[in-house]
Amino acid sequence: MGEASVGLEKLFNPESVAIIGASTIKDSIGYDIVHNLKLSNYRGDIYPINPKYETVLGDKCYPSIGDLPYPPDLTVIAVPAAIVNKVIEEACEHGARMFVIISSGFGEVGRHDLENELRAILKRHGARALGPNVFGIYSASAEMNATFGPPNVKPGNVGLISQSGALGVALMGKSVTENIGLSAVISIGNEADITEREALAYLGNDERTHVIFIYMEGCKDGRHFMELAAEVSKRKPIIIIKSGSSARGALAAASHTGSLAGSDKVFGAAIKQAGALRADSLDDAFAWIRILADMPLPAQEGTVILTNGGGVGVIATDSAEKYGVPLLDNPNLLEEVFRPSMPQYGSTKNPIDITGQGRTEQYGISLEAALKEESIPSVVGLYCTQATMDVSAFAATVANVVEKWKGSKPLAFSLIGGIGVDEAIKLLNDHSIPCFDSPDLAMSAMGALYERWRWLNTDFGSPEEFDIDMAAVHDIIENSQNRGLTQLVESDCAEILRLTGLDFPETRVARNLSEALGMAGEIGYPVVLKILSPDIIHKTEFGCVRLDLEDEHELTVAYESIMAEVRRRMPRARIYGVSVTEMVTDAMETIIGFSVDQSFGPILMFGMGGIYVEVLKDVSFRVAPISRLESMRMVKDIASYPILAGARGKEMRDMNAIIDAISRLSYLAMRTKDILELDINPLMVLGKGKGCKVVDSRITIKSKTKLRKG
Amino acid sequence: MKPLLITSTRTHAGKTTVGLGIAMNTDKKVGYFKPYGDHLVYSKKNLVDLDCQVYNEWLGLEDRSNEECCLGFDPEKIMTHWIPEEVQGVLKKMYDQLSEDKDFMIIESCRNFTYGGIMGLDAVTVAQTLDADMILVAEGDVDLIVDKVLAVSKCLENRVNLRGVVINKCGEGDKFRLEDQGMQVLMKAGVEVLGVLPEEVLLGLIDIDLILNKLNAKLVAGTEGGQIPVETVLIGALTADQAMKTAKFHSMNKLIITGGDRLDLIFASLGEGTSGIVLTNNIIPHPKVIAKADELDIPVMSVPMDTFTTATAVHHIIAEIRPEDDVKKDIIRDMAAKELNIGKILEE
Repeated sequence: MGEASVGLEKLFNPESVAIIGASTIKDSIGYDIVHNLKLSNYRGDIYPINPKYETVLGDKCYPSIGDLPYPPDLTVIAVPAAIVNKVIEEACEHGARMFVIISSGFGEVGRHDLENELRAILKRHGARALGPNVFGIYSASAEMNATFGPPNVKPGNVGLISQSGALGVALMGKSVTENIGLSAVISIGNEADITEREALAYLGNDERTHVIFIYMEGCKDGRHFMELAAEVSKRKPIIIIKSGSSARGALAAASHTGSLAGSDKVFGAAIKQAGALRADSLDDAFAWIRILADMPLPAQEGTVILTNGGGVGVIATDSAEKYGVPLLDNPNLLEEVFRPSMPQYGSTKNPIDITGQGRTEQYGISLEAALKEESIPSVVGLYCTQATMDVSAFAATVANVVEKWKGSKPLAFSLIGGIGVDEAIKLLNDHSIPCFDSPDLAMSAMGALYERWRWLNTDFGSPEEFDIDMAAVHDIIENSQNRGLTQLVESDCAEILRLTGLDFPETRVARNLSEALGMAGEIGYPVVLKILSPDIIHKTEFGCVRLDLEDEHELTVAYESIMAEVRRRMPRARIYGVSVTEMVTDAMETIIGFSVDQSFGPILMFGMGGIYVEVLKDVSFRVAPISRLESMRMVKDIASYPILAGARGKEMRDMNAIIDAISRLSYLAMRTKDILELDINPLMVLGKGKGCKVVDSRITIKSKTKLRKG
Repeated sequence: MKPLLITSTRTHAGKTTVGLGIAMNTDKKVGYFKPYGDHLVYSKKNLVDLDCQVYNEWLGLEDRSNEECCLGFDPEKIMTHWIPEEVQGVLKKMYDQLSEDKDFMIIESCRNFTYGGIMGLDAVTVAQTLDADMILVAEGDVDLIVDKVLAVSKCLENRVNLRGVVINKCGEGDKFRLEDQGMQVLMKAGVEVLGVLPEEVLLGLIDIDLILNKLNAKLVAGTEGGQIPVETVLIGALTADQAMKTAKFHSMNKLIITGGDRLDLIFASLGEGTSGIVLTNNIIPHPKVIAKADELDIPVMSVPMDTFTTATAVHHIIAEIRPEDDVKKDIIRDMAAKELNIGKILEE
């Protein structure tokens, strides 16, 4: 068992379960838990505890935990919050060491004092607890349903972790109606002790669990979660629904769990990096669960769509593009494979369309041909109700054909129609053939499968090591901190970036106009003039940057205008002079940098500059550190990548230079705790082989200023 | 006719307004010179004074480069280009070129009466160099105006001829006190009051284009160039529900300043009565908001500063006269015709 999940065995495989707060009142929590335990055929001892009753559901009910013949392996607490800690203390004194605290009224309503007290009790006794504010725990290996959710959970290979109580119960119910078997259901609640990371680690090592599904609202300690998720993803797929992506959703989530949702984009990037699959809807999540639990991974890309209707085939084709499912494009092969079984009027172009006049047997033969052919990696089968093709017969045929070729390649089906379609879908799902009521969902499922396949086949490489003088970097930062600055002046920013190995246009600092003219002459026109002042952060917006100055006259006019603007806008600003910089021409503006996220640590960002970042927000994120390979993927992730790659006859930009810059910033981000944010905007990228240059940058550092006590 | 140098007791007193008023109410061919610039416009790598542009446009003067109209905007630049002894010579040369075919010249000092002294470009020195008579524009509290005018007139004794004073932006209450007491004191001191201009609301209004320019904001929705006036400024601190309960939120020609993430308030502001919206902290809202603003043609501007800094900056924006301000042109001409003693001003 992994380090993070030490000591959870008694949570998932207890030999005895005590329920403090058991009840004879039907539909109460204390009743439902006992009821579910008994219904789930739990093999261990069940000990209801409540001084009010002598028996509960036929089992002897004990007045207190001290009256039990021996300490229970697992104790479920379903009593009011005000007495939970006292009950746990007592239970610990009688040898209990593992708890599931159903009770609410702790941190989620602001009673952090109760949770702190609970933690102290657990620590004192070396005990562990799930919750508080949970709906219980289900474990297929122990045949134990110690929840107040639905009683008839089917054992299976999907592990569910839920931060939401009500939604978690509902998801359990949905798994029953969808006939999806669960290996475990872990309600995380307030995470006063056992965390979702530990739950994930346990399921990651649990042989019975093949797919892990997590509902999250917040992510404490995101970096460690991500690292664990990456490790687990190598062994089995993780599907995550995280709410709070919208501003309103984030507010709702914050009030629900008492935790901050954090930046959703950062979370999305981190999860993707870790190989987990993020679903936007419950329909998608369940579709993905089905295909990932029941289907093998493909050998390569290239999906064939087999349909009996042209229209639905087109819909599926559109969906394939939407979900990143490349279709097999080999007309000769498809003609050879499918023509023999195709009606004369059918089409062997992908989608393979046997048309509405095709018969069930023809569909079956075509499907078998697709499964048999090694060059076809995966199949999405579509059906829409036709007079010539009864849906029940269709489903039976498909089930028979697939049975023969089970495990050879991944499949997904979609059935559309009226009477009989729901039953047919159920039939195929019962045969572990993923089947859905829309082609979009079928393609979404296939897309998830391929996303996982791609991640598993990706070489992530290792972050590169650089010879950067970090002591010098820290000295610069410390000097600024000692001066009370939280934004480095431009020259210090530039120095840190130079130490990091980034390239700059030639720049000199001039104290006055005469010096500026002299330096411009030495550098060579055209030049850029910028004010040097620690008080003026947004130089361009303040009219303190003048570009493309081609001669002395233009420089003089520009200097004059900058000084006049500064005097007008910020007469008290500290002016150290102006920087005279070589003007970078024939280059593309990009933006690059990192910021430190509370949960995930340093987050790298890359995007095209200017309007692409401000209005279109075309940026990609990664959690540092990353390798050069991952840096390249980061660059390719942005929508405007084709522009960098040389669209419309334009010269391709120097990709190696961009990757090098990202890698270096990744290295820097991991080695300093004092930089909160680093922005290079723009990083001008020249043509292939010509490098890139930092034109403007901003570094925000931690403040060392301490508030004086009054 | 001797040139008239228009100066003022303080910055933004209305020198340009008075000068334009005089120039537009005479048949004489008037020229304009502003030796030391302050209303700078940097465009296409050139620097011009906005007041020069207005005079050129409204009076039909020939377009000249900045170097021909003005010694500069920045003391360092002026003192780098010329040694102090050269400045007066340059001044005269520029003046001679600009006044070549003119009946008389209006010269405007920079900011106020004393500004530019370090370079010999203050009002008195320029007037002496160019043998100009002076007109003093005064604005503000009536008591302080009278004190300052008296001080200036004493300062000018035997040095420069003070033709008189124009009191600008004079409210009704101030006018009464001025006529009751101030005028007599000035007359007794030998200072002629050449006119009292009222406080003209339209001249003092800022507009969206000016805000866009002064904040160096990015226009993310709507169009510029409409000269949409702003009469009220609201900081979007309340929720939309609460803001809509306030009377100010329903006023016309209002500017809303709020964070770009305040979608509720932004949406509520997109309606009649809103001249424009300034979004702070460089936060651009959802494209749907932008699209809605575009549809209604309500200018939405983005700035990187925080809300407080932005509001402060807007608060400090002073209304300008621009070449395209036809409405202001008419107001100034008519107001000057009515309230200024043009005949006396232009007396030989």
